[in-house]
Amino acid sequence: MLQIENLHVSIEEKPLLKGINLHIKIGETHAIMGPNGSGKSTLSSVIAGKKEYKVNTGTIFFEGEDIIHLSPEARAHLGIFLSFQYPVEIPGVSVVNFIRTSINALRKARGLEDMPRHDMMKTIRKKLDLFGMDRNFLSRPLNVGFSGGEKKRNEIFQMALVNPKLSILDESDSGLDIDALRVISQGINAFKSKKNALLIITHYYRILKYIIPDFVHVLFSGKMVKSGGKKLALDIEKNGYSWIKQFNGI
Amino acid sequence: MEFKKSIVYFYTVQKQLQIPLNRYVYNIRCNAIDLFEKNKKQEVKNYKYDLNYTLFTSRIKRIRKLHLEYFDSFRIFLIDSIYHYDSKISIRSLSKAFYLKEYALNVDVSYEKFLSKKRAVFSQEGIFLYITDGMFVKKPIEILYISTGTFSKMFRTINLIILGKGSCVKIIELYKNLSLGKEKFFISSEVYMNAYSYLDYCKIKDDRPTSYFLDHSCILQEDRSECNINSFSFCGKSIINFLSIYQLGMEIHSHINGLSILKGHIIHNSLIEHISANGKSRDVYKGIFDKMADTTFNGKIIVLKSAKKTNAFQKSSNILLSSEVKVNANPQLEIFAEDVVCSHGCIVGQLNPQEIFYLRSRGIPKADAITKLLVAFSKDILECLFFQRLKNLISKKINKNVIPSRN
Repeated sequence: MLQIENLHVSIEEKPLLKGINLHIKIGETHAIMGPNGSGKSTLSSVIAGKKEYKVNTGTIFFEGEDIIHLSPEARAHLGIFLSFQYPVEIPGVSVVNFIRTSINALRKARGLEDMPRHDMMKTIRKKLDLFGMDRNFLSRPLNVGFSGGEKKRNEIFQMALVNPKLSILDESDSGLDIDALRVISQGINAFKSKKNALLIITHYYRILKYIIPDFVHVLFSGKMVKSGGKKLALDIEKNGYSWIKQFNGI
Repeated sequence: MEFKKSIVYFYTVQKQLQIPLNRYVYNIRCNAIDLFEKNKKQEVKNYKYDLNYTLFTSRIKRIRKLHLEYFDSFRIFLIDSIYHYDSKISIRSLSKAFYLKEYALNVDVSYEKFLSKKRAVFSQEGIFLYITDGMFVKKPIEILYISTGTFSKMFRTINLIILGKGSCVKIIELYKNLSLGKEKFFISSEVYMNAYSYLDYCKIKDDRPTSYFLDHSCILQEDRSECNINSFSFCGKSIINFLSIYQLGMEIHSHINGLSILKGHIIHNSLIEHISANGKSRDVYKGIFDKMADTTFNGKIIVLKSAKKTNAFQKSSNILLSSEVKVNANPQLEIFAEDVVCSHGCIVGQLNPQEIFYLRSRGIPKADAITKLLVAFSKDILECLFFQRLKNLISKKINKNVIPSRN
C-alpha cells in the first residue's frame, strides 16, 4: 500500500529525514517509535503532503501511484488520513459542519453526490455512540476549548467517519489519561480491518498494549535504525532509547 | 471666496435642475457655510480623507434595473436624496417635518443642537423618523438610497432619527446605484435616543465596484438606552465610514460591529465617548482584504472623568490575502476616569497555514478551505444581527465576496 524509498527531507537546508525506507501492506499495523526530535512527526506530515518540508530525494508510492507531488487534499482523496498531534482550533466552524464538508469533499472526488443530510446525521450519530461521546459535541466549534483527550478523540472519530485506507496516528496517545487511552484504542481497534492499514507514531509502549502492531520501527536522528516485531517496543520500554544508541553504535 | 463662488454657482444649477429647495434648510446651510469659512483650516484638516470629486454631473441616458432583496419591512426610497411623502407610514421628509407642528419642536431642538454644522454645508434633503414614546416597531424599517446619476453628486442626504422614551426600532440601510457611472453616496444620519430606547441599525454597502460612499452617523444616547450598529462593507471603489456615539446618560450600552470584505479603499473612523457612569461599549471591526485594498481603522474610546465604572472594549482584526494590501489600524483609548475596565487591540495578519493544511488533509480543496476559514472568521459578527432573513442575506454576501482571487 505505502512504499517509501530512501526519503531525504529538509527544512531551510536543515536535514530532518536521512534516507527513510518504509513498506506498509494492506491490513498491517506499523508503529514508529523514537525520542523527541527524531523526525517522527516530520515523516507523518510529509506523507500527508505538508509543503513546508522540502523532499530532496526519494519516493513515496501509495497504491502504486507516486504521491510526492500531490496536494494534501489529493492524498486525502486517495485514502490517506493524518490524525494530528496538535489538532488546530477553528472558531466559527462547528464539528458537524467540518465533518460534513470533509465527507462531501471526499465523495465529490470519487464522483459521488453529496450525502443527504439525514443520512449524514444518522452515520455521525452512530459513530458518536460508538465512541461514547455527547451529542452536544457536534455543535461545538472545532477543537475550541476541547481538553487534550477530547481533541484526540475527535481525530479518531473523524477517522472512523472518513474511513481511510491508510491512517497515520501522530502521537494520538499523548496527553491522555488511562481511561481516555482505552476508549481511543477501542475506537481504533474497531476501525482496524483487513482493508486498511495503520501507522502509529508514539513515544511510549502503552498505546501498543491495546493496539497490537505487526511491525515496530525505531526512528533516531532522521534514520530508521531498527525494525522488528512487538517485542522491540517492549525492549525500548524496558531499556529506553539510549539502548538503541548503544545497539547501533550511534 | 472661491469656495463661496462655487457654492453660489451650484445653487444656480440646482435651480435649473428644479431640485426642491426648503427655506429652513437653506438658512441652516448658509449659516453653516459662514461657519465653514471661519474655521476653514480646521475643517480642511478634518476632511483629509475626503475624496476629490467633481461637483456636477450630466444627465444620464441609461439606467440599470433595480433588484431588491425581500424583507418584510417598511420600505423607504430616497431617490437622488429626495424622499416622496407616503401617507401610509409616519415618516416625513426632513424639509416637511420642519413645518409640521407635532414634529417642529423635536426637529428644532435636535437639529439645531446636534446636527454638526459642517455637515449642513452640503445638506440637501433626507428623512425625519420619529418613533414616539413606548412605540415598538415590529417590522424593520428599510431605507434604500437610490442614485440615478441625474442630480448633483455634491449634496448629501441628511437623516434625523428620534427615538422616544422606551421605544424600539430596527433599521436597515441599503444603497443602489442605477447609473452606469461612478456614483457617490453621501449620507449623514443623526440619531437621538431617549431613555430606555433600543436601536438596531444595519448598514450594508454592497453596490457596484465603481461606487463611492461617505457615511457619517452620529448617535446620542440617553439613560439606559441601547444601540447595536452593524456595518457591512462588501463592494465599492471607496468607502468612508464615520461613526460617533455619545453616551450622555447612565448605564448605556453601545455595540458596534463592522465587517469589511474588500479589494478597494476603506476608512473606518469610530468614536465612542463615555460621559456618564456605568456605560458599556463594544467596538469590533473585522476585515478581509485582497488585491490592492487600502484600509484605515481609526477607533477612539474616550472615558471622561464622570464616567466611572465604564466597561469599554475595542478590537480591530484584519486578514490580508495579498502582499499588496495596506492596513493602518489606530485603536485609541483616552481614559480620564478611575475604576474602569477598558481594553483595546488590533490584529493584522494572514491565515494560519497550519489551519489550511488541517482542512486540506481532510480532503477539502485549498480554495474551499480558505473560504471556510474566512467565513468562520466573520461568523461572530453575523451573530449580532437581529433577524434570520438579514443573517441569510449577509451570509450569502460573505460567501460571494470571500472567495480569494488566486488559488
